[in-house]
Amino acid sequence: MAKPESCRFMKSHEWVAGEGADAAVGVSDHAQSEISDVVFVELPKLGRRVKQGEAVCVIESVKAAFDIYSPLSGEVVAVNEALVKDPALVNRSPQEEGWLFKLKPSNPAELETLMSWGQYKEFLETAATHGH
Amino acid sequence: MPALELVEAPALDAAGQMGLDEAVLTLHSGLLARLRFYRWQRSAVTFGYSQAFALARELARSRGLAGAELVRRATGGGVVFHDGDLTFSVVFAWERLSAPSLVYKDIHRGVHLGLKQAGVFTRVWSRAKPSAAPVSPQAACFGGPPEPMDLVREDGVKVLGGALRRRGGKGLYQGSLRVDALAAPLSTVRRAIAEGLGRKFRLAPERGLAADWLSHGRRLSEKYRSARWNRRR
Repeated sequence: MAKPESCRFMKSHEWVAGEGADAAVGVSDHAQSEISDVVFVELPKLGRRVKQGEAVCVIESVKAAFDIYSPLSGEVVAVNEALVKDPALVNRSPQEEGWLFKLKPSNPAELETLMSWGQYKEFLETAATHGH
Repeated sequence: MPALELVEAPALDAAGQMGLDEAVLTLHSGLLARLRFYRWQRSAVTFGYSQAFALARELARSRGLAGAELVRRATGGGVVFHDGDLTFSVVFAWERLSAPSLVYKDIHRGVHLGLKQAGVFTRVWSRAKPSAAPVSPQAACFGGPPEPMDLVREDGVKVLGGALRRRGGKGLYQGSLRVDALAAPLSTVRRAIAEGLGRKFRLAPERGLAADWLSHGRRLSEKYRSARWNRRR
């Protein structure tokens, strides 16, 4: 669905792909690897209007629940129902079958506030070096 | 070294405890960590964020806690019976996304070292599950064999289990320690936990939570009291 090179990233490790009515959102490979074995995904409701940076869903791995944030403002127009039966898709395919939801962005200019793939990789390297 | 502040709060029911933990998680900032020992008004049962209410109710019945308050936690994990356990929470900076196992390791190792100093011997369970074992949380926190990073007695009996929530670069750990499985008085165990965690953090003097934090906790407790929250699955 979305090669990392064509996505924009948040510091909290969500990615977004596309600018139109179906901007898909998921978590990065780095995030799924740290979160580890996903056992449950709570998806947002269709039609929900969200703001950039708002907590919109929850991923639970074994004994730990993580808030997931929306990279853009907009309306939730699709959710990945496959995750209800197979939440581990987030681990197996974080950039493709493990997408979480799709947004109709209300302010596409917000994309410019997000990191490119190159910037995100640099961010990960810096975070690893400095321990945060 | 970041400081660990021991905070005091009044005795609460389960919804009150959950609301107060969420209030501390929300209002907390900086590198300070906050440790709170729960004081329970009465026995209660809490269950994990994604667990089914019906399962928790069934397990409560089988434990003889049919009439007990039954509350969904914001953290993951399994059903916990608060009928004589020592429950505590730690709110801490969790800025860089890291594996939950590392957080459990840090906290449980701290508790292990504190208990060891007090003459109570435990170990952090490190044996991994067989690779063929299903990746799924246990229905009840103390209902099966120990999982990696649980704290166990020397004979392998689990004594401490924990659950986590990560929100906005901060973490909430909720732990349940079966004091009845340890041959040590509650006061000793409580002090040992604070001192053990104080090895990672600098232990600050105990103080009461600010009134506005307590009132925010009371407001949030209404969510944890509601059927909409507790019975949504």
